[in-house]
Amino acid sequence: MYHAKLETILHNIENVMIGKRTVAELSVVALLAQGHILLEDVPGVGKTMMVRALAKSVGANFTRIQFTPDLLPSDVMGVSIYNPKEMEFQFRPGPIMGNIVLADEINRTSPKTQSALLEGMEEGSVTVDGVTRSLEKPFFVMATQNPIEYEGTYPLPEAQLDRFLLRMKMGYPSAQEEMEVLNRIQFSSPIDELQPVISLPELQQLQKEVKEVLVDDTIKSYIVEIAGKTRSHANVYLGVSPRGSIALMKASQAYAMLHGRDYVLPDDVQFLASYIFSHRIILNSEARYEGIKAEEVIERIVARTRVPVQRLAK
Amino acid sequence: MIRSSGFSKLIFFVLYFLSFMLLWEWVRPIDQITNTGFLHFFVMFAGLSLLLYYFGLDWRISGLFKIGFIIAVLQQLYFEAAFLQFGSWIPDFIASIGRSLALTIQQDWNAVSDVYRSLLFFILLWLTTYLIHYWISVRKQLFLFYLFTVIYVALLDTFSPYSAEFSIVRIILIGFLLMGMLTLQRILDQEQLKQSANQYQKWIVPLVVMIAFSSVAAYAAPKSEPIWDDPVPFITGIAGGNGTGTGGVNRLGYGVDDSQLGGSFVGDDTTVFTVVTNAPQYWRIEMKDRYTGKGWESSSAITGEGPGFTIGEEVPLELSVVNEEEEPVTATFDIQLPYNHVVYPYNPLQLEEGDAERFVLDPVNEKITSFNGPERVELDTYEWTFEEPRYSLTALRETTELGEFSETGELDQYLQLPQELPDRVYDLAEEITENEDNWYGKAKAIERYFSQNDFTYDQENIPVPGEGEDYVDQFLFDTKRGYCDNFSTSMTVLLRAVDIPARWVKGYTDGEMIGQVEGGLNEYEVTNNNAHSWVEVFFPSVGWVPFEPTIGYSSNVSLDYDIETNRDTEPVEETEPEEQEDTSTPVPLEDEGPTDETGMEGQGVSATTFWENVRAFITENRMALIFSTLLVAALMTLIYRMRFRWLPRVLILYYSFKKDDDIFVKAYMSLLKQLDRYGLKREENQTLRDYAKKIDAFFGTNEMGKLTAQYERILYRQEKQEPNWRDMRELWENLIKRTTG
Repeated sequence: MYHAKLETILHNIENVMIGKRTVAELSVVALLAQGHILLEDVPGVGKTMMVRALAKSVGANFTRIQFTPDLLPSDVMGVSIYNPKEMEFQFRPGPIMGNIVLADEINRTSPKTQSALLEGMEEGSVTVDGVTRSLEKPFFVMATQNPIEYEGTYPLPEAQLDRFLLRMKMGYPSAQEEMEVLNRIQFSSPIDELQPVISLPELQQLQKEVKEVLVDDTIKSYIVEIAGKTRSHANVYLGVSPRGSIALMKASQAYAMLHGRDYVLPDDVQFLASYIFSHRIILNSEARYEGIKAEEVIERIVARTRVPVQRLAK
Repeated sequence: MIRSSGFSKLIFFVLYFLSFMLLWEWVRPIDQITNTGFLHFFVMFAGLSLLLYYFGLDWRISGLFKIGFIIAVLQQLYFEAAFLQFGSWIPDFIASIGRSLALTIQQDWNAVSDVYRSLLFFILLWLTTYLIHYWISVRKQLFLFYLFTVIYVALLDTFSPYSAEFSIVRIILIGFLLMGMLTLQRILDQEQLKQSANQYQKWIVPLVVMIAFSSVAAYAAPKSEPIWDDPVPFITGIAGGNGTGTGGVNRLGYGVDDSQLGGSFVGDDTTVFTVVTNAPQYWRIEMKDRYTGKGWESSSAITGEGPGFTIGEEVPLELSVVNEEEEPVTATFDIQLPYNHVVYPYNPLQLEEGDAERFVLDPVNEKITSFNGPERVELDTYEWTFEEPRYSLTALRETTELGEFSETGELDQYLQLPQELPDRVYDLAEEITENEDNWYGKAKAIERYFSQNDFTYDQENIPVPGEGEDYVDQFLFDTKRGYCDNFSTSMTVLLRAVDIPARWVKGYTDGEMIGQVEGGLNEYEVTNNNAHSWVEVFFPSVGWVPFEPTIGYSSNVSLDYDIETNRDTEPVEETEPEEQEDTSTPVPLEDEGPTDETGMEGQGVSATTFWENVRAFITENRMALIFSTLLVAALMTLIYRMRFRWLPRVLILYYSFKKDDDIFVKAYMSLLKQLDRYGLKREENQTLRDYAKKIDAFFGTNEMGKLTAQYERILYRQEKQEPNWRDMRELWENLIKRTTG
């Protein structure tokens, strides 16, 4: 039953984002696994559109923060303003107080402001004026960042990157897909026609159920092996932390659920590994100099790891 | 082939160049060994071929290139006409190749033309360069080629005048560098790493340093002398030299050249002749008198000239004093394997029959040759009358010196020994004979020495004496293993070492009795296995008396009789050791005539007979046993290799009876294995679902998908409940049957 609904959500996103099935799936996976997404891409490929479509499909409220170099933490979290009538400070919630938050160009702003967002992502709550306010549930951040090479950016520190469940790229649509986009957008935006598919409580229920998706020991050992290999690979300076392994397992569970299974397959792990791990490893300078991408390294590691096809010896 | 960067192009160029250098080492010795000129053309061709492979030209173009090159070179070398005058040389060329092809089919290798040989060599080089190309760019492994290069050069160095002293150094340097670089390429490939100059530096520098260091160390290090001086004679022997012959392994049977003794002895049951007689004995062919340290030669040149005689005439040969009172006996020879020499008994009187005009006895080697006019002929049959030799024991025992013969020096040739004969041989001879005072006693002591001192009779892996080694010395002190040639030569040399004239005689043993003919005569069959060599000792008052030092043989020619005196104690004492020796002979050897007569039936019908029978069976049917073992092994291998064809049926049968909790899992796993054998291999990083898609696409079904989905539920979902095996079995059987088609 849920499977059908999840499929509809995917369908919604695909309607808006033509030809971006993988991106849609990954977004839903992150949503189900209660993780956050780091989107790395150039402007104009439809990042906002996609998040809005997702938000609309689950009936969540959607906020957007456009990060600029002069943005302050209070602009993100909210601020207490003195109300002369009531003779007290009143809290005006910032854009972080939404269900689905699009943090645009997160690497344009100062580390201070970045950390305000990241703290919220990690803790599920923000502290303003000494008062801890919990964020909405579900809380889902999709941060975008311009490719690192651009000027005037504050790259996210590695530890902060770990907070994102997965990193993905959108990429340009193909010529055919772009034609389709033009056709659809000509008269009305397809986003306006979207209807919510599930309610927020339902989504929260799903998020709980994801944890019950079965991960066999063979799969766990498969995840651990892949993670372990990142730590000893010749091109890698710093490998994946155990938090990374946990993330891969959670994402795999969500991915399995998305495909209507209550158990995880090695296929799930293989599909997700490079999205989950690539931003969690640091390549050594040589590899970077040679232009090797973290995704390639993870793919090579997966290609060199034996898939478990038999029960573990007892 | 697609190569990414300029750097990796460079690396591949270096790899091809190094392998070209390695290939050059193959061509280099050919100049010296075969006297082939124009080798530079072949080297150029190898280089060209590799270069074309390096550039990855389309095979049609590069093939045309190479064919053009080959034809141009062949034309240049073998035809005088100008290249463009096609009409004048192409027909010749084609005709020459055609003729040689025909000769090749007739296996007449020597007659093929040079053009053809060169062409074949070009083709061989072409194939080799292709292999190298494949090894470098696809397999990225060159060890096999390297290994063969080393073996090739080592063999040439050993067996040919070619000296590989520097070649081997070059091979080591080039080869290890090449293999080291290829290993890096392979690792980069496997790990799918990008290659960069940086990595190369890290890899190559230690590699070069290591190779350089080890080469220098190896070059400077002291090297021990080879254990085997020169294995050439031994190995050429293995390859099939002749018996008492060409310095190597002996094919059993009669041979002429004994200048190089040693090597293995190969059994051969070919019948040489049958002889009808009642006086079986050792049949003589010739003797040799000059010991060279390696073998036997005749002291003077053999001319084939000598005193002649015809049928019925007395033979001008007196080996020992003939007792006139004895009745002459006859021996009728029926020859199966004709030679132009005549086999003759001790003390021959005359030839009664024989289809030759004239017989010549060569006094140098006492060989009798049959002639028809000036032509040597081979006789099918002949008959001898002769006296059975009886030697007076008293006379033998009385001999202590040469007497009158010492003056004349006519026996000096029988006392000859090579200068280089080690002193320890003399010492041994003295030691063996020190307790005996007369020649007969000394000869007997030496004859006994072999059977009492751990010498073994063996026909296989008998070494050939190396440079500076003495055949007898090697046998007496080192190997103590050998066959008749070792024993007889050693005894002769030992006798000469104590100044007793002795010589080395060749012929046949008396063979195996195969039946009786009328007149109470026995028929004996003599085969190549009976070819033999023994010793004759000269006693001035008696003549030449044969001795038999070879373990396991006993000569019944040397009947020790004393006709004249001392009938009291002596004969008893004398015959005793003789008999003792007879019984103490080791287990009968297969080629051994005399012991057969004692038979097995006489003695124990105990457990030993059983083992004897087993042994006999094995020896008799050795070839059959070996052949059937090989056949069975080949069959087993075939069945094993073809198991993907029949195993599924076995599996189906097995799983249809099995009622196990785990049956589905097991069946699925054996299906995976079967698919693997069938050739649809699952990569290790391939998930089952992915694999199932591939299988289903291959067979055009969805069975594997269904089975895999079920298996996934069991494996990854921990479903304990086995699926209804009956439904699954149908899918499983269908699929596994497909793999047998």
